[in-house]
Amino acid sequence: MSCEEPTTSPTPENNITVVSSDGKEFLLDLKLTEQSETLARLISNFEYDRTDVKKDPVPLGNITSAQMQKIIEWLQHHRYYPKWEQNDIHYSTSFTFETWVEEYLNIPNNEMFELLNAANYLNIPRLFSTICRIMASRITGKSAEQIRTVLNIKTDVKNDVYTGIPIQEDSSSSEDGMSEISLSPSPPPI
Amino acid sequence: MKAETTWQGVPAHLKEDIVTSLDYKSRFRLGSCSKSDRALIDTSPVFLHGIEVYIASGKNQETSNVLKIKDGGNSIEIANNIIVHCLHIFKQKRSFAKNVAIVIHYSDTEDTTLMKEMTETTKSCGGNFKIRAKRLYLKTTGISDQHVFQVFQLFDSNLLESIEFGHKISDELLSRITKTESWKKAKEICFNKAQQLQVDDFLHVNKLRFFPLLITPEDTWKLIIAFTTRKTLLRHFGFRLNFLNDWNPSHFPPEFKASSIKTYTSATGSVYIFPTQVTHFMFVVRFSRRRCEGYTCEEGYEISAFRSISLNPYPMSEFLNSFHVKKTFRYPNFPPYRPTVAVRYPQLIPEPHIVPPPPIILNYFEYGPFPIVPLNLTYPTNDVLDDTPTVTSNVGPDDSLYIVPDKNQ
Repeated sequence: MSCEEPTTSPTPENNITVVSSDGKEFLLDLKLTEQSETLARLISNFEYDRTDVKKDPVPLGNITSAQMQKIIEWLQHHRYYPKWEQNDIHYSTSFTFETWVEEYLNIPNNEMFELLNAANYLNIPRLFSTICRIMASRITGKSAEQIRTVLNIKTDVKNDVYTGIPIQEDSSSSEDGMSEISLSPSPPPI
Repeated sequence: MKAETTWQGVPAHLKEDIVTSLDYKSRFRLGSCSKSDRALIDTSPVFLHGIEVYIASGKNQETSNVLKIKDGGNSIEIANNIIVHCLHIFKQKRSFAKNVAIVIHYSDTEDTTLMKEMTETTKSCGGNFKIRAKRLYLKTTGISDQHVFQVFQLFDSNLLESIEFGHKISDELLSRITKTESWKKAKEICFNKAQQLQVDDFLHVNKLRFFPLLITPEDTWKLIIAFTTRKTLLRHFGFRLNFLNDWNPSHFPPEFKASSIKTYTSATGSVYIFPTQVTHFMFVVRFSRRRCEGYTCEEGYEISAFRSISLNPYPMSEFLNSFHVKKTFRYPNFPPYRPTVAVRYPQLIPEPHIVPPPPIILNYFEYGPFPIVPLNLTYPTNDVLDDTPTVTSNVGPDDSLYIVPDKNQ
C-alpha cells in the first residue's frame, strides 16, 4: 500500500488515515476534514481529534484513489476559506468561477459525475455546489440536441416530450416547442 | 471494469441540484431530451426572481395575455396558455418566486372563463395548491370580489411578506382580506388607491402606505405608537398616509408633543423625533399638509441616510420597473408610485452677495491712464450695498422640510 502525503506534513496527532476503494491510504490533516461534513462527524463521534485516542483507518468504499487525490487537492486549496454557507434559494445562478476552479474542474463529464458522487458522499458542500454550477454552465444556452450530445443522452422518445413534434437530427425540437417563448431584451435603465 | 458514469447514471436527487442551477429556458430544453429528464424537470423546484401575469380581455376584443418570467439575467415572455403555465410552476411544492405581479383587466364582468381555467388548473395541481411568493402586487378590474379573493387566497400565507393593491377594493372584500392569515402575517402593505381603512388592521406591519379618505389624529397617533413601542425595529421606511381631511399636529393628543424629543417646523410642515424601544434607533415623523410619514432612523442620521430609506420604500416598485411594464402594456401610471421626497436639516441662508460700490470717476488728466468705468445707475434690486445693515444669517424661512415634487404627479 502506498501512502500519499499532503503538502503540509501532518503529524500523527493531527491527522487521520482514509482508505480508498482500491486500497490506497491517504493521510488527511484534521483541519482539512472540517470541510467534509461526513468526515467531521465521524471524527467527532470517534473522538479522533483527541491525541490519546487510537485512530483506525477510515475506509471510503465509494471513492477511488484518483477521486480521493482530486478531493484532497480541493480541500488543500480551500483550507483557509471561510465556512461554506449554502443559501436555501438560488434566484439567479452565477457561472463565474475563479481560475483555479475552472482549471481544476476542466475534466470530462464522466469524471465530473464521479466527483459529484464523491462530493455528495463526503458531503463537501462547496465542491458539490461548484460542480453543479459547472455542469449547469455546460448545459445553459444549448439546444436540446446539443444537450443530448454534451451529456451523451440516448433519447428514449421519438417525439418531443412537450410538443409531440418528431425529433429530427440536427434540429432543436425544444426550441420549436417554445416558439411562443422569446427572450426579451434587457430592461432599459430607469 | 467499472462502467463510466453517465448523465443518466447520476442519481436523480443529485441531478436536481444541477437542474435548479439552470435558467428557466434551459430547463425546458433539458426536459425535452428524454422521458427521465422530463420527469426530472417536472419534479425539480423552480426558484425565480419574479413572475408577472398580465391578462386583458373585453367584449369583442382579442384577449391579450402575457406571462413574464424573470430568472437570473433573462426575462422570458410567454403568450399562450399562461394560466396553466404559471400555476404549474408552483405544482412542485418547493418552487418559489420572490415577486409575483398579477394584473387582470376584464371589461366583460360576466366572462368567467379565466376563473374557470384557474380553478380547474389549481384542482389539477393537487389539493392545497399554493403560490409561494414573497411579494404580491395585485391589480384587477372587471372581476368580482369573490374572484379577487380567490386569487388572493392562492398565495401561501407563511411566505407572503408584502401585499400591494393597485386598484381600489370594496369594503366588503377588504373586510374579508383583513381576516386572512396572509394579511395578519404580512410585513408590508400598500394601497395605491384612496379608500377608507381601519388603522387597527395595519398596526402589525413594518411598512405601510395607503391613502385613507379620512383619518383622525388619534388613529395616526395610534399608528405612531405601534412603531415606537416595538421591541424589534429595523432601519427602514415605516408608513406614509395621504388623507383628505384637514388637520395638523396640534390636533394630536397631548402625548404626541410630550413624547417627541425634537421638532423642526416650517411653513410647509414639521418633523418630530420619537425615542424607540430599540437602542440607537429613533422614529421620525414628518407631517405636512394632509400627509404624515414615519421612518425608523439611526441616531444622528443625516440626510443621505434618510433619503436612502425614503426613496425606495417598496422594493416591489423597483421590481415592476425592472420589467418596464409601462412600455410593454402602455400603462401611463404603472408602476403607480415613485416617491421623490426627502428631508434635510435646516441650513444657513447664504449671505447676500455684496456689490462693491462703483469707483469714483475722477478727472482723467489728473490721475493718468486709469480705466474709466461708466457709472451704473441701476443697481441690482436684490443685492445689498455694503453701506446697508448686515443681514444676520439665521433670519429667513426655516427650510427644514424640503419636498421635491413628485415627477409622476
